[in-house]
Amino acid sequence: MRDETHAGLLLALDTSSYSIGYALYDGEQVRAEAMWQGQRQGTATLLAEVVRALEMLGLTQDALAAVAVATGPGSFSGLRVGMGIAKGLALGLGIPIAGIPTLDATAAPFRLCPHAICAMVAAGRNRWAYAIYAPAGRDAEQNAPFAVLQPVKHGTPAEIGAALKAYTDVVLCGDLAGAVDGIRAAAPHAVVPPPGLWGRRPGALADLAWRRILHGDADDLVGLEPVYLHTQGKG
Amino acid sequence: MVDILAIESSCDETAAAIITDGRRVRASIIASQNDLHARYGGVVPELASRRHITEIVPVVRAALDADNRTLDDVDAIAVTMGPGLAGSLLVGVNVAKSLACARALPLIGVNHLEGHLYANWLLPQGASDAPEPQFPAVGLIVSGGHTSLVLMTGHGTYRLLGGTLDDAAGEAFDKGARLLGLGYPGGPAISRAAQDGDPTRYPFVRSRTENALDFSFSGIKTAMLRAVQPYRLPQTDAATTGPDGGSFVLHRPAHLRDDAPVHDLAAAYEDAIVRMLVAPVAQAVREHRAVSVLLAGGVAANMRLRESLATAVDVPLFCPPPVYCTDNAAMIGAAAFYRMRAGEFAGVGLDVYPSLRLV
Ligand SMILES: [Zn+2]
Repeated sequence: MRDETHAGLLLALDTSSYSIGYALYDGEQVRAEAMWQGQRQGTATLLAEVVRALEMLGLTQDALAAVAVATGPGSFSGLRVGMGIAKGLALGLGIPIAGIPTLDATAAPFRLCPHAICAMVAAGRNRWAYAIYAPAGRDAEQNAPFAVLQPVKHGTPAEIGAALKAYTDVVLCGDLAGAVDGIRAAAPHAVVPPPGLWGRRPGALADLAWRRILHGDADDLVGLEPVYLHTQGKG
Repeated sequence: MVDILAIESSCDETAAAIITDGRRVRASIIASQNDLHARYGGVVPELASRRHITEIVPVVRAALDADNRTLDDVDAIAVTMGPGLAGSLLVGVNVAKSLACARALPLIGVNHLEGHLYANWLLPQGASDAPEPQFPAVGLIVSGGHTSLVLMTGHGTYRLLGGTLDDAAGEAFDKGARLLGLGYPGGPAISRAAQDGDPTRYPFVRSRTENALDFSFSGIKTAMLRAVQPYRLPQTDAATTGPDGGSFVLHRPAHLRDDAPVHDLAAAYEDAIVRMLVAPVAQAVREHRAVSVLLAGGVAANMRLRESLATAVDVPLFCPPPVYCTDNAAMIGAAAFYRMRAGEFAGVGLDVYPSLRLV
């Protein structure tokens, strides 16, 4: 058993789309993690669930040593729920804060596979924000920097499918509900994981943030803000 | 002594304050966004929320610093939970909740409208004591978003006597100012222009409402439109792309001919609004045997309204200093103290309530 008095936990918060959640991570293990569909209730539920998780672990807020938050793309108001909680905790506890791009965290669990990764986050009105990453292979173990094949764009499933024709091997991940058929119509070769592997894992977000904070690469508490990408007009 | 750190972010001001025992203002910091929204002629919600998320930490720090305090010297956290813009409210509420959680402090959720009324409990700068409002009190809340007449029979106990049937008083000022080619926000602009005006040259008739304690500003707005029509010069409205990809119409005040009687019209318009606000207050005081009158909200900074009310009622009239009439966190700390004294605390599940009512 771990000595819990040593626990210096990183809290990761993700409120980027209809699914919101948290992870509590100690650098070796994800100690608690949850993701649920409830963005509209984010203010009422997210911090309350984090407090409950700490209680379940027999800990209090004083166990938190750092906080990380998904910076988007995603729903602007939704992102600010997570950002507000993260900022309040960082200010109140005097702990470092790190903002992690939502799509980096989405792609992270798939970096070991040999395909290009198309990470997607729902943007509403049948549109998704997406980015395409290069496979990292064994480098993923060292958390090598993300090699981006295509930076963030917005598109409909048909538009995303059209963009994927340029990649012979590509795996989809993230908010895939409602998008798979449209993408597959244009890009039948795209690899679609089973629905149980869709969505985002706050634990992956926590892992990315942990390494950054360990290297002293925390963000400025004052200036940190969501990534504001237009969801209409030219993608 | 109870020291409350209060946070307010319901609309376009990011504010934090430290209040002792509900009355003494130790620090009050307000980051205004007026410059940001003025060119749109009103608050753009998405822009307001963006500003809140970057202003909130420096504003809270500045409030603590101004009183040489750290979070260790705070007994409770208070925050505006509504009414207001959902996207703006959620910044303050989430930051306040996590601050309270981080420091294991009690949390109080405050109704913004109640906050405006409690600005009347704040002690003037430098004063060690001052008489406080007595009950029953008639309260008039007038701002850009609200026009309500309430009866307050005790701390936290309200009865709604009247409200606006169309625009809020502040909106009526904004629309009048736009028609006259004056700036935003409209209230102060109209007051300035009205200074050298003759309010009797254009008598605007006040609209009658079925309930004598209600308000309606649509009549005088139409009258103003008609009065300026002969002086209007042609212009085009330019649309611009907003932060959400949507388009906003940039605020372009009307262009009027040089011989337009702007000062007289401003004076008449202000006079009409003031009379419309004062009459129901005077009647409510008589009907409910009120022993004090509380003026609250941004429009409460209007000097003609204050003077006119003071002569119309014969019970003590309370008006906050202008800086506590517009949105601020000191008033939230004042209201929170009385809720706290009544044992009313919020939990970690506190939400935002954009259309929260006082009663
Ligand atoms: Zn207000």
